[in-house]
Amino acid sequence: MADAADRRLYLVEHDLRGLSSPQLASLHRTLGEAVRRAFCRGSPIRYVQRIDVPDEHRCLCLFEAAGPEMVRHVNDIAQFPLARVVAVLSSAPDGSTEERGPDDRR
Amino acid sequence: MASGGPPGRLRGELTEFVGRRAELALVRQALGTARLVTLIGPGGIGKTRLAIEAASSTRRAFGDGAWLAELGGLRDAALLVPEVARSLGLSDRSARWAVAGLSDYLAGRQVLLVLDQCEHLADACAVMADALLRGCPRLRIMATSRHVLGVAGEVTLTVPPMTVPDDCPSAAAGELLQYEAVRLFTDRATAVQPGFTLDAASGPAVAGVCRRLDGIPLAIELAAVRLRSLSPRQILSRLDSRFPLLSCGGPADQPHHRALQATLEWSYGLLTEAEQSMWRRVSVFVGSFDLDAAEAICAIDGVAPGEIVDLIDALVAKSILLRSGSGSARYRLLDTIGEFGLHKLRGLGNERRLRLQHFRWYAGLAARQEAFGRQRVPWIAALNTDHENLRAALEFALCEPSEAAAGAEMACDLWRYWETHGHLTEGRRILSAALDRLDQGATARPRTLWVAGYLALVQDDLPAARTLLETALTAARLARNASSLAYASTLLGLVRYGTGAAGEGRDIAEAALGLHRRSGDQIGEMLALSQIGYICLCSGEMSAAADRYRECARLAESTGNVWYETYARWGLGVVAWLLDNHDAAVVQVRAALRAAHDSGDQIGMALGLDTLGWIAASQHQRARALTMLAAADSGWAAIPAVLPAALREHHDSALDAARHVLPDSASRAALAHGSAMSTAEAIAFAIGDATQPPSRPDARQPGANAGPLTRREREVAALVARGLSNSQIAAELVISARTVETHVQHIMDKLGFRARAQIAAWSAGH
Repeated sequence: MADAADRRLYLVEHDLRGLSSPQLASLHRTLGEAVRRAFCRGSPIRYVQRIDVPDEHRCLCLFEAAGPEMVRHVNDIAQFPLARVVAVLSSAPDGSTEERGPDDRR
Repeated sequence: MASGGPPGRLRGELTEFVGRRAELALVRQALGTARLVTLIGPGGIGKTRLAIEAASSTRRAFGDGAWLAELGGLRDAALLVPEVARSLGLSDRSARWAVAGLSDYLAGRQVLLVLDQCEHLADACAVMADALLRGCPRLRIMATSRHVLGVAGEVTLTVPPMTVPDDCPSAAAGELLQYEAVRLFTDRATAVQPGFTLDAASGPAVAGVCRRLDGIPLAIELAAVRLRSLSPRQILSRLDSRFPLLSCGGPADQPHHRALQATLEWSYGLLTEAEQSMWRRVSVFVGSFDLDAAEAICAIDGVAPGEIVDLIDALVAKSILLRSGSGSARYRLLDTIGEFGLHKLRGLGNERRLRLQHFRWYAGLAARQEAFGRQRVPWIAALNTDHENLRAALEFALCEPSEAAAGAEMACDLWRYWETHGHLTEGRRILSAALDRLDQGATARPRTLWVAGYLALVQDDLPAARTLLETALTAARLARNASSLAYASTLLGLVRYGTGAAGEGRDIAEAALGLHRRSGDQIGEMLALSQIGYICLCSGEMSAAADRYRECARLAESTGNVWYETYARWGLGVVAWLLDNHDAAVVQVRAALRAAHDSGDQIGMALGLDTLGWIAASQHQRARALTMLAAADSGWAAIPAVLPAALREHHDSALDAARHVLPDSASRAALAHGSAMSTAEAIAFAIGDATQPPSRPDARQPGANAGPLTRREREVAALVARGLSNSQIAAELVISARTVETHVQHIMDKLGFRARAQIAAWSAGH
């Protein structure tokens, strides 16, 4: 991994309309595998968290990476060619803001 | 609808497959037990040929066939699944995760999928294969790659060089022919020199060539074509003297790679300067190309277009270029040979110029914009044949700051191609890349935005469509771009309708119609008319819908626009059906179906079949209705696409009504009949004539059939024949003048007339 200071959080929203339960599981396994492969090839990226919004048939995937291109790359590999990658900040309930992933707050 | 012919599609090969019995047996055995078999080996070793041969010989074991996806020309890993879907003849119309769409299609099918040349997309191929194999229990995949994919359960088979004889000068020809490399050389030698035989004189030299080339099939083929001008001994002698020089410097652990590179260098060195130059130049093509393209792109630096054909001929004769295509000739380079040519081209520095020529040629093809008329089918087919070149041209333009705007315009010119050939995701991705590269004030920006919004709309990605179209509106206003303002408004109207604001959607589209008319854009006018018609139709405003569709039909006919004729006729048919005028509805929808068939519009065909199913159910032709509904379902699935949600209730109601009355066995038989029909059979069935396609109203003998007219229309026609005006007819029949006008228009539509005098003449004869 790159220096923790170089890593940022990125959010990608995925449209889950029309996907069956097994396909949802497949989607997340595929994203995880794409990240694992990128990481093994030396890309500093981590699939941090997934937040499902079942009523709206979408999910939000949080990645930690050195840049948005890396996040876009794993989404390309997982066949999300139109994924929009947004840099985000993670805030603790006390109002403090961290730019790094949850693990780094420890 | 079932597709005609044997299932599957594998590339036909022009040369005989030689040897490889042991490898073939191993591949077949592996396919019998493993669900993912990867053939690995260096370039030129024969992986593709072996995979295709193995797939051909085992395809009978796969009920739904063996299909080849050639991935060598694909550079963008994100488009892997759409590309594989394209190989299976599927369209990409949905914004849904593409892996799920492909998985749905393959889930119930017994298919062998051959993924050729995965090495540059290894990760994407691996995750796709893993997902498909988990979701599709009867699917097997055979991949070719220079490296292992690394998927659980993958069985890898290393493709070895062909067997070669040891150095034994006294070996008899028969003995030498036991070796695959010698048999391959001899086979290819016979093709270039029909009298060639392997004998005591030629045998040792041929064996020496095969040994020198490490048994690499591509290298042996390149050497064999030299028999046109050299004897086997001369070939060996030149290889012996050149190889130490040519094969040094490559990776020490890849002797086969070095041997192949040395053979390529040797072959290159034997060409004339003009032929060498041509090899380099044609390396800018991806996939295959035709002579026109080669003449336009490669005739530079003093080479005249007229000389190109001779140079291509020379490269074909030397097996550098392969001829493909059974009709108009097309040519292609094997990937390894193309890579070598590109390497040489880069070294000589005019790659950019050639790529610019390549881009301009294909931008010109896209700019022909024949998406709507009678030339639509051949134009779309030409684009599809050159899909890989279009993609390469766009990639080049969008990476060149000075060409980004032209690239964006080319991508926009392809809007109907992206849509109708089901390359929506690819189109959106390219347009998105174009937008990233265009300045905020770029002239091409408003159009690029609305085209991207249009494709998002077609994919039912309404949030993205809305954002893009609203941005397009703002950009168009700032740039005072009336055309983009009109298109963005038209499409935004449909988005507003799709998000539940039908009234607002219609108002926006009506305003846009005015903009199109003011700018004299008839395509835009028809787009707006058909969309307003659709919004009105789905909102229950029948008269307004009919008016707009009728205007659209008139304009479509007068401009020869088959595309909009389809949807205008369909709309008029649905309006007639909803007003219980079933006969008129059938006439219109059949005309729509014919127009869709003429233009190769799969959506239009599925829609036409579906609608005729609704009408048949209303006419109590229940078995017929079920057959057409099943044929329509197959049509939608084959695209794949779905009937728009707003129309789904008509399909479901027709299905329920027919099944409710028919005995189960009859229902099942009718549905099975429809599901098994080919497209042509379904259309012939739907128009009520199994042998003759339907005539469109404008092609019929005008007024030949009085059947479609309702009683009231016949009364109106009789009064028209008496010379009465609409107001006088209204007074006579105690109806409004507007209603008379509608009746008159219906009569003209049904009978294919353009003037009231024709109604009078027709009425006199009936």
